[in-house]
This record gives sequence, structure tokens and C-alpha cells, in this order.
Amino acid sequence: MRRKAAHVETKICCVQRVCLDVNAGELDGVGPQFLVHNSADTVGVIVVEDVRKGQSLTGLVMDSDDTVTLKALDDIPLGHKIALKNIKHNETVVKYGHDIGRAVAPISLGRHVHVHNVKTKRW
Amino acid sequence: MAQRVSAKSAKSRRGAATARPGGALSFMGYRRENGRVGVRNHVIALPVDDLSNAACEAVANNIKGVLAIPHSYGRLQFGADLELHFRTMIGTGTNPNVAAVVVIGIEPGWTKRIVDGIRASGKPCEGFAIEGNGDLQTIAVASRKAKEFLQKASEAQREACRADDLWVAVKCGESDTTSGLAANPTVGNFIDKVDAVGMTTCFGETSELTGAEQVCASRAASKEVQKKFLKTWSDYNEMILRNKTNDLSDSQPTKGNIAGGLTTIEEKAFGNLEKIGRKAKFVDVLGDGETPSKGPGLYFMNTSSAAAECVTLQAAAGFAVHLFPTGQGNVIGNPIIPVIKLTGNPRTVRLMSEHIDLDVSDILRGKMNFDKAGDALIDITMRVANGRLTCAEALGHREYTLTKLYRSA
Repeated sequence: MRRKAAHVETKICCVQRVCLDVNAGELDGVGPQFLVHNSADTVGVIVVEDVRKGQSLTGLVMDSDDTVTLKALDDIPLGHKIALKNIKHNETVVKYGHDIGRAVAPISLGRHVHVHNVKTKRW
Repeated sequence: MAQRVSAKSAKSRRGAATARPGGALSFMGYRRENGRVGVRNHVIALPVDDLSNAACEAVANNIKGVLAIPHSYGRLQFGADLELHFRTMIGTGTNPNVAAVVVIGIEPGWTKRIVDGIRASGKPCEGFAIEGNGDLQTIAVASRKAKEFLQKASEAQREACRADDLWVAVKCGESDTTSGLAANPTVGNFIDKVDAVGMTTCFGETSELTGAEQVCASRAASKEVQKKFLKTWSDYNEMILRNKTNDLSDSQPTKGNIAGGLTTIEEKAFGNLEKIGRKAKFVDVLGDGETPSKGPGLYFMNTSSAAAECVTLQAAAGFAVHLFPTGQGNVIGNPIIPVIKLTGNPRTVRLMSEHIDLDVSDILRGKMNFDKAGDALIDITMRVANGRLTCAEALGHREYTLTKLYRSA
């Protein structure tokens, strides 16, 4: 029971946890560097070109309009995903509020998420 | 200037599809003998089989304005695969964007079957067989008939038509994560709006719903349709499981999908499903190339997820316009239906602008919401229905690819 409760809390808080630098004016003039489909998602999508390792990024959660900020730990190309939390090996990766596969390696918050660390559960 | 989007506009970004009166979406189209409305006025030279491509191309070369539609099959097919071949040929000829058809086959039997199928719609259609005549004589008589058809078609006039006269199909290709963020939900907004005014629409790509199949099933209009969808998806998935040699990571997602940031089939499927919006329910599950028969509304068609195969089947079912969101820049067109391309990927807009009919990359910049993007898509669709050439038409993209269910005998 306790573990289950902790899991739920993690899910609800994941956006808030990476949201320490929330600033209502953050996006004025520049637009978001990443977008998140759903508040439950554990990955966001980089929507600008040339995100570099160490760069501070601002993202927009599309279903809630929350603004989130985090630091990229890898160079990440346009359209590729960034981890919004620390994802454990074998943990389900969530996007669109749904299961999009499993992590095949631990993925730290801010890292590039793609075929090198996530696989389908289907085929 | 980019602005932080307010919570209020987050709601409108997600869902607000404003119903409009059908009259507001009127266009000028060609009404055919069977009542269906086309947006183009093609006279086509349609080969029954691969052997007759050369004669059809010669007819199109002789008679300026006739369009040959070469393809690779039509010999020794049997069973369901042969039925699909006839359905695709007859459906292509029957499509309301086609004014008249010259059919050429190697022998008269299957040629007559296709001619009879097209004539059932009331459309002018004549068939010619090569055996016993040779290419040159066949080309001569077929060219005379094609000339007569073309001159008659050139006198056809467009007339005022309503939104519910227009059939629009959708399919995405070379998708990336921007497809799910911008171009696909723009199509979804379009679907929600036009569904409310009685347009007939269609989505397909059975394998590309894998991972999102239960969410898709929940959008069926009835339990019966839901059951039919899940059986169709499950049969397709079993075919993949039977034939696969790896996790399909070289094929589905494609190399282009992966380059664009899509990692798994599940991720691709949820992005794909954005194309059917939030409100519309699908009223039936169509077989490959099958014509809708349950009135206006959204239909699911069992198709491959390969772009040209899917669009060819949707055109054969009678859809007259196609909406094609892309991420990395699929360049597809079709010989008889205009394919309208949209993208949300700013890099694709910059590097491949000659292929993009509608740029919705401002969604990624927080400067455009789905409601506005959906309205822009309705606008360009109506302009294309009125006659504006798409990028794919201007560039001569005429991909016509038959779906084959199994090997020929």
C-alpha cells in the first residue's frame, strides 16, 4: 500500500519537481524550447534546433499550461525527447498520458530519451 | 512575438471545435452521373495489368491531357487478392475526380469486368484488349476514344456544392514528434469541425495504431463497430507477428521517423491517433478500398501504413481530397486526388517548402492554437477543392501503389 501511494505521489509531482524555476513570464518573447503533451508524461519534446548539453530549457505542458524548466544533460536534436524525471531501468515511459514503451537503461532527468534507452513493449 | 498561452486557450487548443452551417463550407465541384462530387476532371487511361502500361502511356502521349496510371500487377492473382485488384481498378475509375476512363488489358475477360464495374456508376468508359490486335492498333483505337472523352470532359462545368458533398481522407507520413504535437492535431481539429457538418472522412493505417488500439477502439460509434475494429487490428497484428524477424525497428517506426525523434510504435500510434480529433466517432470499419455505405461521418479503413498504398486505397474508395500531415517531409502525391501536405516541423518548412501546402509550425512556438490551425486547414482544403493545385500536383507526384495481399499463382 505504501509503495503504491508513493508511486501515485511521484506521478502527480513529477511536473512540479522539475518546475522549481516556474516563472509566468518565462516564455515571453522566446517561445518554449520543449513541449509536454500531458501532465502525467515523463518525457517532453524538444521543439527548437540545436539544444546543447548544459543548456537551461523552458517547457510548456500543453494540457495544463504549466511552465517547467530543467537543464539538458545531452545535446538533443529538434523533435527528440528529454527526460522530465529520473526513469528507472524497465520503468514505463509515459507520453500523451499513455505507455509508449519501457526504459532499457536508467535515464536521468534532462537526458536524451530515444532508441538507445527505450524499446517498444509490442514487437 | 511568442506569448505564454493562457489556461483558457489551453482548453481551446485541445478541443473547441465550432460547428458551422454546411453552407459556410461550400465549394465548386464536378457532379458526376452517380451524384458524387469531384474536385478534378481527369480522363484516365487505366491498365488492367502491368503488360498494358505501355499502351496506356502511349494513349496519354497521343492525347494531351489524358492521364495514364501505370502499375505493377493484374496477372495470375486469385481469391481475395484478385478481388482487391478489381476493387482498386474499378474504384479508381469510379472516383468522382475522374470524368471518363479508357481501360486497356492484355485480354478481353478481365478488361470487360473492370469496364462493367466502372460503367455501373454511369461514367463513360470503354475497354480495349491487346491480344489479337497488337499494341499499335490498340493504341490507335483507344486514342480516338480517349480524345472523344477528353473533349467532352473539357466542357464539364463546376457547380456549387456543400460540405457534405466532399469526401476527405487522411493519412500521415514520415512522421516525427512534431506530427503528434502540431500537424496531426490540426487534422484532428479539421475532422471534429467537418464531422459536425456531415462531411465523409476516413483514416486508416491499421498497424500504426498498435499501442493505441484500445484508445482508438473507444472512438467507435457502437459496440459492433468497436468489435469489428479490434478484430481487424488483431488480424493485422497477427500477420506482423507471424512474419517479423526482429522488433520492426527498421520498418515501423521508419528510419525517417526515428531520425525525427519517434522511438517506438506506441509513441507513433498515439501521435497518429491525434488525426481523428477529440469528438468524432467512427461509424464503420471498411475493408481495403471499400466504399463507405453508412452515410456521412468518419470511417476507419483497414490499410497498410505505407503512404502510397494507403492513399491509393482511399482514392479507390471514392475519397476526393487527401490531407497528409508530415514531419520529416514525405513528398507523396496521387494521380487522381489532390494530396494537401501540412507540417509543424520548422526545419521541414525551411528546407522543403516546395512540398508544404500549410505550415503550422507556429503551434510549436506557442503562437498558434489548434482551433486557428484547423480553420487554416479548412480554408486551404476548400481552395484545393475549388481547383487550386497542391504542391504535389505542381511537382508531378502521382504515386499509385497497389496493395497485394499475397503472392500471385
